[in-house]
Amino acid sequence: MKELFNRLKTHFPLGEITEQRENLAFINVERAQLRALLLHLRDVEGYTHLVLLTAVDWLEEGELQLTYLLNNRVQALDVGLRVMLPREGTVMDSIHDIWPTAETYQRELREMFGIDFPGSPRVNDNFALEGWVETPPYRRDFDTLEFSERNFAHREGRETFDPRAHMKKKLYPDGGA
Amino acid sequence: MALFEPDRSQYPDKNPDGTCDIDLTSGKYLKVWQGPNHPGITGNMSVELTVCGDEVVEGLTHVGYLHRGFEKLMERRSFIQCFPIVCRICVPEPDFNEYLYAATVEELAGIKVPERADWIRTLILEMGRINSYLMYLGGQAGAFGLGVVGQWTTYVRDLMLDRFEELTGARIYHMFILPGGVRDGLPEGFKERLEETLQEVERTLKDVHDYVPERGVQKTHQRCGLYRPRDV
Repeated sequence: MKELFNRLKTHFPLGEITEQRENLAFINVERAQLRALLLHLRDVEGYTHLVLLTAVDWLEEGELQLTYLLNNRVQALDVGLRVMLPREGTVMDSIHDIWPTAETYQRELREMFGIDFPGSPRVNDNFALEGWVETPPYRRDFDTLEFSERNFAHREGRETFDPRAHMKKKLYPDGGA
Repeated sequence: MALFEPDRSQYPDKNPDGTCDIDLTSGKYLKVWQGPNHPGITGNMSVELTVCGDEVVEGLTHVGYLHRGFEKLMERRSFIQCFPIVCRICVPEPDFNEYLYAATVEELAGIKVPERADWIRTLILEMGRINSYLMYLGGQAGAFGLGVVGQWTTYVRDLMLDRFEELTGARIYHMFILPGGVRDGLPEGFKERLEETLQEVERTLKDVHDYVPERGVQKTHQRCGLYRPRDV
């Protein structure tokens, strides 16, 4: 993976590289470089398959991380490109014209993380939720427990246990060793 | 052999946003929803199809029917508490999800798995693979109108589930693979009973093999609609 990184470095300014395994590495890139880099990886380096496009919410840093994971089928290598975006008013360039499958990922990210991809087909259509007006649910500041308590009635006669405490009590009744 | 040649000359062009302006009042087209009621075993997704005769002019996917937000559910749990969630990602074949999740935790935490556990994991994953093929074969044959094949494969799959129950205590969601290894060793006499079950599976697969490719409905659909890699 180091050779790939060195080859790419002659064409593009790249950030840090993380070599997770022999056949998997992650490279941090700037938003402006991403499109050219994806095209280069697809057309020149043989990374023809977009495995996934997903986001991570770095709440404390105030950033959202997009990961574009690409696969080279011939050499059985994977490379992930990481792009950091500001958390507020997040907008990213659509890549549906490079891989049509990105359309669905981008619709999901629009709804679940609130990341806009202008120009992506049906990006504002409902994906899984219908008429959602709250914080995008995959953002870490969306509190599922608080949401449930606010929206759903409590059913009488039901006891709720904290699973961790409950299992500990069941497995180690004398307090555990 | 009928190689698929895309020809959209008689249909409206695609708009930049991927949709088509189709005049449904013309009587030329029909809008059909495929799914989301689990048609066969193709998953809880629905495709909004616009067809013209036998040709699909437009297909819009609606994928939200089985989107359960697993990542979000896992946010509130400890690593070990996530196991009942990961196995539910795929009902007919939960083991590989358990394995992948366990392997991820191991990689993050730098845990090494004992060799014995590695082999037991291999056994479980192979058993899971046989199970999922059996379900697929039955479902696929059912889609061709050969419902009896589904009954045969469900029968042997049930025998495989018995072996899973014996090994893990559960028929569907096993949760036998945990970070660091597996929950237990093999029960006494398990090998022999598994061998017996596998022979039954093999006998049934021979029946399936003798039966399915000889049916007319299968023959007419074979080698129909082939794609070149660049069109996929």
